[in-house]
This record gives sequence, structure tokens and C-alpha cells, in this order.
Amino acid sequence: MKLYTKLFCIILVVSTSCKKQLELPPENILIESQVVGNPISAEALLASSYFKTYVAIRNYYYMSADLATGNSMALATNGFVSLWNGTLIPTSNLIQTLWNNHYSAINEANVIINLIPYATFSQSVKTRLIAEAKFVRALNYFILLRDFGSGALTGNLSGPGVPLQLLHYSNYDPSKNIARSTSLEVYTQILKDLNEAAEVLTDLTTATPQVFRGRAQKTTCLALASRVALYMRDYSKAVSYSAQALTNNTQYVLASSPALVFPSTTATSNIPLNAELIFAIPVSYNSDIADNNLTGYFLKTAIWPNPAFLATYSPNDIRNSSLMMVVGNPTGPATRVTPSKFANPLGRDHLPIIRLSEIYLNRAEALVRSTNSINTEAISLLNSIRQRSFPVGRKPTPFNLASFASVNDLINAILRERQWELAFESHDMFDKIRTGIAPNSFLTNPNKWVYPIPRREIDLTNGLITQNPGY
Amino acid sequence: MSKLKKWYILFWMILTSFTLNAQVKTISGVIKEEQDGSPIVGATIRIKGTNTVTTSNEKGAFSLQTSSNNFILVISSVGFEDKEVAIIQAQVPKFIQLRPTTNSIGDIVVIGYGKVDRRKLTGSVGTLKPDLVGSNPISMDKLLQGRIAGVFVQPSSGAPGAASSITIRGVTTLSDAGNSPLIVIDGVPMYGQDRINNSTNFSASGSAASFTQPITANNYRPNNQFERNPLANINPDDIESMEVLKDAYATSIYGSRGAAGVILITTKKGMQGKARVNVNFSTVAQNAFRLPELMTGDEYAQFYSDYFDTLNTRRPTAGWPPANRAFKKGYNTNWLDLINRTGIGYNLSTSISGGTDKTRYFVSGGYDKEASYIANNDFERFQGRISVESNLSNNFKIGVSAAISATLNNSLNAQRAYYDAVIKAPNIPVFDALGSYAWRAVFSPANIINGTAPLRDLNPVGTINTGKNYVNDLRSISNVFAELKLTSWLTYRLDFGVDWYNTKAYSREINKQGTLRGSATESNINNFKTVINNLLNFNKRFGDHSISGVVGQSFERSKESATTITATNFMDDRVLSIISASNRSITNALTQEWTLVSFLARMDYGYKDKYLVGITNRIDGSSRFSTNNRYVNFPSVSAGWVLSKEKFLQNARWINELKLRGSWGLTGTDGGAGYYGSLGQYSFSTTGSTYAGSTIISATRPANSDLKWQQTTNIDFGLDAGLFQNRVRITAEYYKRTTKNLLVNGGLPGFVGFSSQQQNIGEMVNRGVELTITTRNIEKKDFSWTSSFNIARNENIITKLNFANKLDASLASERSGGRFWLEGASATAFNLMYWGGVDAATGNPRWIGSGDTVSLIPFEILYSGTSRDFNSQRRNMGDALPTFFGGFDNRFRYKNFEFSFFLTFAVGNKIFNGAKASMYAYSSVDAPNLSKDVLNYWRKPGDITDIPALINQSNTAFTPGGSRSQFQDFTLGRNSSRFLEDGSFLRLRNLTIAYNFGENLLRRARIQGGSIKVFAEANNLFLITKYTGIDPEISAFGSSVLQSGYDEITMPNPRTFRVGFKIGL
Repeated sequence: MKLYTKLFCIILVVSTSCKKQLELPPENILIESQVVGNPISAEALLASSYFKTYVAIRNYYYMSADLATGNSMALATNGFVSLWNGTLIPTSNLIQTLWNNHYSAINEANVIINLIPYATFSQSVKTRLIAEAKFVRALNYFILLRDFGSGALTGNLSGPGVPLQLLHYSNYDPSKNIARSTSLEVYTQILKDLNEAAEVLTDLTTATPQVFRGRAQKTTCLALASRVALYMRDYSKAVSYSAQALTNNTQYVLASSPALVFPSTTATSNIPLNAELIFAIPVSYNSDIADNNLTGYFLKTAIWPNPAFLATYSPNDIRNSSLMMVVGNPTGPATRVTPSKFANPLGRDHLPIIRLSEIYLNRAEALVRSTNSINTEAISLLNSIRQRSFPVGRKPTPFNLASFASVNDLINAILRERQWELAFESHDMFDKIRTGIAPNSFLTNPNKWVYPIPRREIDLTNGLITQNPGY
Repeated sequence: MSKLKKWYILFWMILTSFTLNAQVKTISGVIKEEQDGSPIVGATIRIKGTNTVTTSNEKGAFSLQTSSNNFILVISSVGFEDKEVAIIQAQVPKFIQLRPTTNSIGDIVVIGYGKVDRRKLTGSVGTLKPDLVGSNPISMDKLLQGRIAGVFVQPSSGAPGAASSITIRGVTTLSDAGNSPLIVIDGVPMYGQDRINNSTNFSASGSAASFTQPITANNYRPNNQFERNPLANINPDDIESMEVLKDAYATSIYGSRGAAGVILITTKKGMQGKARVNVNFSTVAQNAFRLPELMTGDEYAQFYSDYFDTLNTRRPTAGWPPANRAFKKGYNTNWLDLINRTGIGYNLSTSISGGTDKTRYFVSGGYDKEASYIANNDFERFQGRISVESNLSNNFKIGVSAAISATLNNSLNAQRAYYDAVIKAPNIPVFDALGSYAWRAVFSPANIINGTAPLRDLNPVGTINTGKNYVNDLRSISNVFAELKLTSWLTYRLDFGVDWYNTKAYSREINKQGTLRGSATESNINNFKTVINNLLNFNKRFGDHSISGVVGQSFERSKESATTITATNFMDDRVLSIISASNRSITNALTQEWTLVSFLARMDYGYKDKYLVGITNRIDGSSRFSTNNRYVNFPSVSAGWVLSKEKFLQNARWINELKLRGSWGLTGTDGGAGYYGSLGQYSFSTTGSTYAGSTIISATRPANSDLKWQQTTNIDFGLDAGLFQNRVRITAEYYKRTTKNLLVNGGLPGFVGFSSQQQNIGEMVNRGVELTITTRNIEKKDFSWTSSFNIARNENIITKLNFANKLDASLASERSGGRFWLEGASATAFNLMYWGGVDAATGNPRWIGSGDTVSLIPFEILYSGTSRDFNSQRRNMGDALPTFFGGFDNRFRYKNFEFSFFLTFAVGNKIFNGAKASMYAYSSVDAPNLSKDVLNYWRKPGDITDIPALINQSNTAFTPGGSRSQFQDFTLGRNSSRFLEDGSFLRLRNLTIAYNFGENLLRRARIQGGSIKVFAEANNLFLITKYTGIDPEISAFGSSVLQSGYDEITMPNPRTFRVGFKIGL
């Protein structure tokens, strides 16, 4: 019965190979285990989480903080005016997109944080990847909390923050939906991530400029932490974080003039990154056709600096001189100017997120508030920012202890300097809110100082995620 | 039995009959059925050449008295082939087996992995044996149309080689993949209908609508795409039978692919006997059924001049409309007439078959040409098949069945040319002043001033005469098998089959304004599938008990590769090779694979052939399934009760057969979630994004390891009856199919990192009844009339849709304008803005809202900027699929004449007349040609018309706030009911008359047992419908049943006339 034997063999061969045959890896894509199992693709995933953060931050989300307080102006018909004029509704696409983009970046960071520990490649690479991912996660949660956390900027840290998703996506199980953590819990997690990242990261001397300033270093984490602490009104922490962030004075150096930080250029790639930038999106190094979506400043028709705001600068201030308020698009309205920060015709300017001058001002403010005194170090920090903003020979008299009648006077001077120094860099609205000032006349109701939670989140979690009061 | 043996026996008999003494003895035996060994009651047993006759009793036993020792027994019984058995020395074999004849009610039905006697079938199987009076249609989908109850076949268009949608018992899933039946040809599951995989994109200078003003809201945009018909590779003349498996008993054995039904195709095989030669030849003429009525050049010029004047008085802006608003008159180009023709096609099909008792063969070859009614657009097919079976020994048989076919479809431009001919301005000539095709010539002031349009090359005559656009399929569906009879009741069979499907498509636009120096697209698709089946078939009878069935295992693997390359900038229009272009790119290169491992079993049990029970089960493990749910089980149970065998019906002589049956079981759908359904996917950015110099790999698709597979529960109750000597045969059925775990793209809360994912959130029910009546009305020597009627009703309801935010989520799934899914409605419902006609006082369209409120402003504008969603005003206006449909076939024979006609019908289906919407879309920039209806527009208060004023509140000339820079026209949207029409129809699909040259004539020509038939037939002779378009039986979205019901200037089915002959020798 040779034949029987042969046939039997065929059956055996076919049936034993079943299990292997059913595991087919796709050809055009990678699956999760492949991505995190290899240092190069894991690095690429980390790059993606940075990029997604950039995508979430840029465009009108970046512009709106300055539009809100009147630093800049925009056409009233622009769809995104609702981001600051109090008309935002929970079904708005604007906030849904913002929410989804940040959480999408967080998810990739979570994949790295949770799965890289099991990878088998070099431990030092793994440690760095995880630490950077923690920075990315912290940055995204910070922005989410700032935008959606009810009371997060006004000192009510027991109010609802945002859902704190620390697990990477593996499957959707509605029973594992999570509610919003309190703002304090979110802040705590952010600082925990930043501390852990700062602990293992160094200010890598071998990194290229775009990697050094476009990705997290030790100082980057501490610098962000100083702002986080300031926003959560933990001023003593802000003092200590800023002190640590200022220790590396060889790689992070205050420019002698703010104009040097933001040269107006038409170059489309590899625009130098000034040593004052602690963290900036290195747009001109990214090979992506998408720009930073801030070309509106160059064109001057969609968004432009408010002349009333520019008038508040002292005469001779470089930040309102032709060095930093440039012509922009020559065919645009002649009465308007373009800030050199965003004067690239193709939107290839680096997007500044953290600058050394901010850390100076963070520290100055935190010192004054934590000691509740007219602090000399604070005055000297303020002076370094203010003095460099005037050309040699036209510098104003430096402040001294006698310049300020009260603690409040000094705080106000610091905040004022902050508005001038960090104008158009997506700070002002939050500096107003955290100091209890309505950003504009539409936003007198403090409930509207945060965005509504996207309606879809509430629907899809059957109300587990709650709406902010007032929406 | 070889001839030699017969002669030998005869010789023996003659010899012995003389030598032995005459002595009366009793011989006895049992007559059994060959298939399953059941006894045959009432068979006639006669000793050849004598009057000694008896009949078998209820156990099939007989006895006879004879005095001779050697003789021949002739056994005959209704429903079985006659059999002669030579008896030597009075040694009668214990059992004499009869083979059932195939054309009786007791015929054999092919089912999954086996065959069964229809009388014992406990499931629902529709059979079609193509034996038309005239010629078979060119592809089997058209052959099925209207023939089997519950099988809804809808051709997508009149373009040759275009796909059809085949829907069995309603829509099964809400994913595009999964609504077409599995098609199995001689045991090989073939690549079937699949809109995504079978579509070929071609290059063209934007047939997509370009810059129009006003812009039609919710417009249809034609895409440069052609969906091939994968069934066009098979020659219907090679098909012995097609079985449509409908219920759980029949389909559960196909497990994860059975939910949308299964079609089994059995090809012709050789039969023992002398070589038979068949030659069929016919010539066919194809014409347009009807052409749309459009404005002439002068009417067109007058209309647009008037329109511009109206614009000028009603909505003037600086410099617009221009001072010179007159469109040029004088040319009256009828573009449709210029591209229309009578296409002459051919069908030649030949076969030779025969065999000995050891080896049987069937060899066929054929050539077909279908010439569409658009000039220069043809479809050709060359194909051949060989089937050989050989008994190597008494219990071992091997065989091969191999087919190759090549199709060359040159008609990819037909649809595009037809569309362009409808919309192209008629007031311009075909050729410009320089004698070249006027691709962009515009004789309108608007364009000369705007300098913007048309932005595309538009000249249907140029389209069909220049460039190239073809798709070339090479395909082989073949299998080999070995069958070993282990015992008298147990057979082992090994099948190995392949479907090798190769496609090359090439399209080329010549050097013209839109495609300077030419552009080309070439795509190659290589699909290769193998299947191995190991089957143990058993068939055993113990007294009153019979058991038959199969146990087996199947392994299938498919690899599908596609590459697409495009190029522009050729040095010469005559150089075709892409490599010769100076600008080339690869737009697609991908190989995808899947495998399926299955274990299957079926057991049929019968007690006294009266009480029948069937059980089937299949376990499928698919690489497409998620790791956590990799193996899925699909069981079924069924039962039948043959009432006609009960004593209480024995006296009802008019009932020959009466059977009640029912089945329950599960089937599945393996499409829907793509190839690697459950895995989280990460992709490189296709735009090459980097961050700070690092490449980016981002998460593009969330993991879904808990995804469950769509599962359909099928319940079926049926009645089969044969009455009045089986002259009336009735099958009536009720079914209910419930699909659970429907895969729909569902929302995820954004905080998890993704915003949507395929989820198991739907449930759907199909309920229906089917009735088939086949009658032999008149059976006389010179005259006979048979007819066959089928009708089916199906109702589809989405019973559950777990969307968190229902309307929003429904809208997210919206496609083709008016189609989205709502709980409680059909999957193919139209949800539209209710158009209430034209207000006679103002000429504005009336929009009827959800509370029957009337608005003269479209809700899109009325609710703009408010929290109210205009979509909440839409209502369910009907279903694209019919409530009833079926066919009615009649055949007559009078002496040597044959005559047949075949009607098909559908009732209750709605169709969106997008063709009309396009022909009503006047625009100030493109200025397309229009239907003459538009001339009847509202001019002054009191006018009763259904065409609104040229400028009205719904084409936003008077938008409140009016800050829009462009007009939007809401009167033509695919989301309004204005163009939704009743698509019910009755069609005379076929009318054939044939003449058979009598046997006498053949005998005189010394041809024995042959036949010669000449025939003439007409297809699509008339159509009765209320539909104001041309043809309600088309679909702009190919084989996608979920998107059916849209006529978007889709080429209507042609009318054809055919003459030919059939010779059998």
C-alpha cells in the first residue's frame, strides 16, 4: 500500500504546517513588535511622537495665545477665532483635532515607555529613548492640561484635569475608559516624567544642533519643569527647576541681542538654531512639505502684530525695531509688519517652544513670588533680558531695588517684560490666565478660560469623561 | 465494460443456449440506486427479447422465472438510465445499480465537497444548467440574471467586461468586501467580485469634474477607473451546471466565506462513448438601447446666453458676467451620434468529448468578441479547456481539469467617452481650425474672459480615436485530483487546484494640452491561489438507514501582488513603453498574502428515505483573523421530511414528491478588516517626513486583537413539491439571516490615541421568501411548452448600530451622497432631503423638513452657523434594492421549431437618476450640455414646472449674508430626493427562435445522432419602467451592492441581435 502511505504523508505535511502558515507579517507596514524590537525603528517612532507633538502645536493653536490678548490681530472671519472669543462649542472640530493630536503623540510615547524595556538592544539606547518619550508625554500632557484642565492655571488643582492615559493602545475595551484625573494628579505625573527623564539624560555634546535643540536633553526637561511649576503655582519648585536649568551655560547662552535669535531669512532648510533655544521644532531640518502654518504672519493678511501692542514697547526696543519687525510679504498691506520670528515666506522658521530668556523670567517671577520680596536676583535676571533688547548707547537705566515700590510692581514688571520678550510665541494668554487676568473682553467668565471637552469624548465614554463647567 | 467483453459474452450466450437443456428456474436480485444504494421501487425488469417482465418490490427486490441460463436483463425505472445486464449461467449479481438520469426530479445536486440526490437534500440549493435555446451570454453572471430565486444580479454598466454585483438573499455585511458570493469552480475557490482589488485606475486628463460655477453640492465625480469582471474569464459554454448555495446546510461548510452565499460551478466532463463534436457559432450586433436627449448646439447657445443675461441682471459684480454674453450658434455637433455605432461581435465555441470505460476527455476552445456600441471599444476572449479522467485501476482514478483564458478588454474608455459625449458643449465642431481634435475649444464668452476652463481635455471623438486604454487578463483555473476507493462505501479524494490570475492594464493619453507629451499608467496584478483538499467521502446503507457525507481538510493560500507605474513626457505618441518616457514614477508596489486552514465535515442521515437529517461543520483558521480569535467554528443542522413517502399520501397520486425541510447554521465573512486585521500597524510616512533628521514611523492603525468575526445565523424553511407526474415542480422557501458583530468603523474616544477603528457594533437581518415554479405545461409529440418562474422578496434591516453619537457616526459612514446607515433602516436606503417641487410663485425649490415644514431656503444654508444639523432633516426615501424580483422563462417546441422568451423583473427598487442631475447642471464656467428638460425652467410667477428659476435661493445667488465667493447649487445634490425615481422594471431579456434540422435530413447526409440548429435571438428587446433615465439596471459603483442605485451617466445595457448555429456530431 505504497500509495496510501504517500497520500497519508501529504495530509500530514499539510496539517502540521498550519500554525506557521497563519502568521503572515504584512509587507508594506511594520507591526508593533517589529517597531519596538529594533533601535532604528524605535528611534523613528520616537521621531514620530515629536512630529505629532509639532503637528498638534502648530498653526492656529500656536497663534491663538497671542491673538487672544491682542498681541496680534486676525480677520474676524477666520474659523479659528472661536479659540479665543468665547464661542467655542463642545462639538467644534478645532478642539477635537487638538485633543486627538496630542493624545496621538502621547500614545506613541506610551508605546516606547511601556514596550522598549522588553527590547533586547543596547540598554543605554533604551534608557535614552524612554527618557525622551517621557519628555514628549510630559509636554503633551502639559499643553492638554493648560487648555482643558478646569482650574489648572488658576490654582484650583483639585478640579478635573484630563484623562491620564499612561498605557499604550492595544485594544479598545469600553470598560477600561478612564475619567479625568485632577489637575494635581496630571501635574504630578508631568513632573514625575520630567524628573525621571532629567535624571538619565545629559546635555548631549555630540548631538547635531537640530537634535540638541529639537529633542529632549537634560536641560530641556528641567526648563519645561520650571514652567510647569510656575503654572501650577508651586513657586519654590519653579525656583529650583530654573536653577538647574540654568546650570549649563556653555550650550545654552543668552544672545547679546534678541534679533540674533530670530534672524529674518528666506532660506528653506538648515536655518541655524541659536544657542538660546532650549527646545524648538527644527522645522527647516525636517524634510516635510508641511510648513509651520504660520506663514500668515509673513503674508500679513490673515494675522499680523497689533499696532496697539507694538506701541507699548519702549522706543529703541530692538524687539519693535526694523530688526525684528520686518516688511514680510512686500505685496502685503504696507501698514502692517511681520515679526522676524515668523518671517520665512515658506513657513520654515523654527518653532520656539522653550527659550533661555523664558527661564530667566520664570526664575525671576518664581523668586519674587516664593520669597514675597523684592528679590535682587530677580531684578538682575530681569535686567539681563531687558538690557540686551536695546542697542548699545540707547540702553535704559538698569532696574535696582529702588525701582520697585512693591513686590507687585516687580512682578508686574517681570510679566510685562515677559509679554514683550515672548510675544507671538504662544505664551501671553496663559500668562494672563494664570495671573487671574481675563485675556480679553469676550473671556470675562473664567469658565471660558479653558476649552470645552470635545463632546465626542463624553458621548463615547457614556459621560465618564465630564464636561468643563460653563459649557 | 469494454466492447470486446460484450462480444465475448454474447458469443458465450449463443453458444451455451444451444448446448444446455431448457429448465425453468427462478432468479432474483435487488435493484439499487448507484449513488447511495437505496432500493428502487417499481423498476421494470425484462429479459431482453422476451415478454418475461416483473417489477421490483418496495425493497427493490425482484424475482423472475426463466428457462434459459444466459440472457440479458433490461432494467428500467422512471428517473434512471436504462441498464442492460448480461447474465451468464444464471448468475445474477446480488445488486444491480441504476444511475439516476440528470433531468428528472431525482437529479444529483452538487454541494460543497460532494454531491447529493435532490430528493434527499435538506438544504436550499438553486441549480442552473445552461441549455438555452440560443446562445449563452458572454459571462456567467449574466447567465444567472433572473434565473434563480433570491439571486440578484445587477450589471454595473453596458460596457463590455464590466463587473456585476451578485447578491444572494440580501446584503450580508456593511463592509464592501463580503457581499459577493464565494465562487468555487470544480473545487477551486476563485477570485471573485471585489471592487477594490479588481479596479484598474487609468490616466486621463481629469475626467473628474473641474471648475464649475455654481458648484453642485454633494456632486458625483466620475473617476478614471474600470472594474473588471472576474467572471468574464470563464466560458459559459464550458459550464455543466451552476449551483447556488443559499441556506446554512449548503453554505456553512464554506465557513468563514459562506455568509454571502456560494456559487459552485461544475464544468463539462467527457462521457463514455464515441467522440462528440460540438460547434457553436453566432454573430451579434449590439446597439445602444436608447440615447439621452440633449440640447442641440443652437438650443444650447440660446440657453446659456439667456442664463448669462439672467446672471447679469440678477447678480452682477464688477466685470462679471462679461459684456458679450452671447454663445456662438451655428454648429450642432451631436457627440453621442459621433461615437455611437452598431458593434458586431462573434462567438465561436467548439468542443470534442468522449471516452472509454477507462478514460474520458473533454476538450474545448473558443473565441468571443463583444463590440460595444461605443466605437473602437471591444472585448475579446480566447480560451481553452481540457478535462481528462482516467481509471488507473478498479479503485483508483485520477484526473485533471485545466482551463486557460486570455481576455483583451479594449473598452475601458467606453464609459468615459459616453459621459463626455453627454456633457460636451454641442456648439463646437469636433476638429479645430488646424484640423486637430478640439479638446478644449469653447465657444462661450465666459471662458474666453475667465481664461480658466475647461480645465480638462474633453472630446469624446478624440478619446475613442487616440491613445490606448486596455486591460489584458490571463487566467488559469485548474485542478488535478486523485480518487481512491478504499471500500465500497468509502472514497478518499485529494484535490489540488490553482487560480492564477494575471492582469496587465495600460492606458495612454496622447500629447495634448492636459497631458503635454503624453501620459501613461501601467499596472500589473498577479494573483495566485492554491488550494489543497483532502476528503473522505462515505456513503453507506444499513437496511432502512442511510448515511453519507464527507470528512476533510482544506488548505488555501493566496498571494496578491500589484505594481503600478506611471509616466509623463514621452518623445512620441507612438512609443508606448513607459521606460521611454522621461518622467516616471512607481505609484504602487505591494504583495499581500492570506492563508486559510480548514477542517470540515458533513453527515446526512436518512431513515427509510423519509426522515432526513444533515449536520455540517467547518472550522476555519485564517491569517486574516485576529490572533485571539483565530479559529472559528461554523456548524449547521438540517432536517427533511419526505411526506410523499408517508402512507397517508400514497393515495394522492397527483403528488409525486413532497418534502418539507429546514436548516439552521452559522456562516461568516472574512473580508472587511483587510489582510492583517488584528495587528497594530506602523507605516513610514509616504511624504518622507523626518523630524530633526530622523525618519518617521508612525502608528497608522490601531491593534485590534479582540476583533470578533462577523457571523451570520441562517434559518431556512423550505418545501419541495413535484405534482402531476412531476409536471409541476414547486420550491417555496422562507429564510431569516441575522448577521452579528458587523464590522463598522466605530469611534474611539480620542484619549486612547486613535479616533476610530473597525468595531463589532452592528447587527443586521435579512428576511425573505422565495418561490420557484417549473412546469411542463404541454407535452405532445409535436408541441411542448415548459415554463419556469421565480420570484423572491427580501427585506434588509440594520437592527443595531452601536454608534455613540448616531447621526454623526452615520454621516461619517456616508458614501455616494444619500447613503448612510441608520438603525431600523435598510443598508441600501436613501436618506435624502425631501424635494417638494418648485414654488410656482417664486420659482424657488421647496424643501420639506422633518416636520413637513416647507422652506424655500435649503437646510444647508438655513442651519448654517447654528447648532442644528441640516442632516436631521433628511428622511428615508426608499431602498436601492428591490422588494420583489425574479424571472419568467418560457420555451416552446413545435416540430423542429423552438421558441423561447425570458422576462426579468424587479419591483420597489429606487434609483438615483444622477444622469439627469448632471444633465440639469448648468454652470457658468464649464457650460456643459444639458437635457432639453431644462428649457422648461420657471420664468414668471404662476409657471407650473419642475425646473426652478435659473437663479434661485437654492443655488445660493441670494445666500443670506452672501459672503460666499462661489455659488453652491443645492438643487442637484445627491442628497436630495429630486432625482430619486422608481426603478421597478419588466424587461424582455431574451427572445429566441430556432430551427432544428430534422434527424432525417442528417441521416440522409449520413450523420447519425447529430443535430444542427440555427437560431436567431434578441436581447433586451423591451423594457417597461417608470424610470425616466434609460436603464434602471445599472450601477455607477460597479460590484459594490452597498453603493447600488446610482445612475451617473452610466452606460445603459445594450440591445443585441444574434444569429447563429449549433452543430453537434
